Amino acid sequence: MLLATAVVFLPRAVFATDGVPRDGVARDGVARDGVARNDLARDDLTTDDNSRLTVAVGVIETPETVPWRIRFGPGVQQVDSDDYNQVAQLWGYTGFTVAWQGRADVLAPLSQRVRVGARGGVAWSNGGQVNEGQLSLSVWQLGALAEVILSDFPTGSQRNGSGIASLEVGGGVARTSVNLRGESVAGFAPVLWAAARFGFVRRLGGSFWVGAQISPWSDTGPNKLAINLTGIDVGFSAEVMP
Amino acid sequence: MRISMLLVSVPLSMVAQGCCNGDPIVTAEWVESFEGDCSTCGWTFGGDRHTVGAFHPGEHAMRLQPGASMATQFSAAGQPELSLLSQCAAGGTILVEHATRQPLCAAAGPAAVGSSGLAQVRAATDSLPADFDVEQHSLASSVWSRQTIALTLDPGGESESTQPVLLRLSNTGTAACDIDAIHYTATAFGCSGCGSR
Repeated sequence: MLLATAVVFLPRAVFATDGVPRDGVARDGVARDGVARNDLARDDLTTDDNSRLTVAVGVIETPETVPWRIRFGPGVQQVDSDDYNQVAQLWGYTGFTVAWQGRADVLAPLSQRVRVGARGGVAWSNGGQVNEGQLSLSVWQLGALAEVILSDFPTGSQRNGSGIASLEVGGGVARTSVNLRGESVAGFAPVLWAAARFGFVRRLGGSFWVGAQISPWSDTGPNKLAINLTGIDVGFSAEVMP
Repeated sequence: MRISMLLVSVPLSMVAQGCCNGDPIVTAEWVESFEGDCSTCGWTFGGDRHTVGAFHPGEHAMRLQPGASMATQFSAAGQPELSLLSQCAAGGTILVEHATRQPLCAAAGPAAVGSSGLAQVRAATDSLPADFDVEQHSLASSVWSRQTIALTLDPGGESESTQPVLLRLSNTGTAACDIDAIHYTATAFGCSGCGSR
């Protein structure tokens, strides 16, 4: 993939040990750092033996990077709503302590180790049932995230698969509603999250993640009691490379 | 909606024999949560009142503005207890009035519900029946809370025969009060008959 015209300064020794002519011309060579550098035209290169630097000016083909991917899966997250629960329990409801969630991420490579993407998610929590009245919390979430891959990630030409570890951070907005007997209280809340992810990727992959989320919401009805979708969350994701 | 109402009469044989077996007998129990299609059935109202959401719009409560009241009547015998889930804005006060008969032993015997003109008692300014004993309790909580009142006025008194009971809740304060989940129970302990305690 031709992405850019670049000026590259490379130590001469790198080429010398990999069979690249000392005139600095590289043709289908692979440098020691594993990055393919192709199609460097002789006319685009100048060599300075004294400085032991090779200066190349031209169009290069960028390294093959991690392809864009889709991942999705279930999780469970902590809900911190002690004040709300304390009141709901007066009527016999249990209140909200955990929420089950489903997420889908679309990720595109920004570099060899950084991916960015978008997230859509939904979460649901059971607040208990009293006299045929079901108290429930539902959350729809949209956000953006960035992920830093800490371990090697298989490239397009190395699709043998490998284990990965990564860190992700993200933020967005949540549409939150509490429902009881056909009546809802709804609002919006900001969402921030961070997570560590461990898994295996190839064309298909899977990962386990554990993280923390902050999402305060206090517009919950006549008493304005806070429901915070704040706390630890864990889950599993399946990952595919289209 | 009145969720349940249980009325159990004390066996006449127990009264006649003056036995005391100690087993608790629930003579009346009901819960009012103001839910459903008949959320105000069985109540008479006076003043400005309307239904509002409690901690959630799907959970309904009765809001009594200052001077408003609600009353109901039923039959019970034995030791009563009232549990009330409510909250008042600053200045609101709920006055609970529990009125019943405690007939003397000589006059003991079942009484019909609705006697003594109970149906006319509605607004806070209405007088309670002259032949009824009345106890009053005041509640004022600025947050939703469930308060249990151990009522001291036993319907039926020592006779433990069911008697008409009138329960009236009035807002005697200066701000609104919301009332939900009223739970009333009356329990006789199987010690029936004068002089058997």
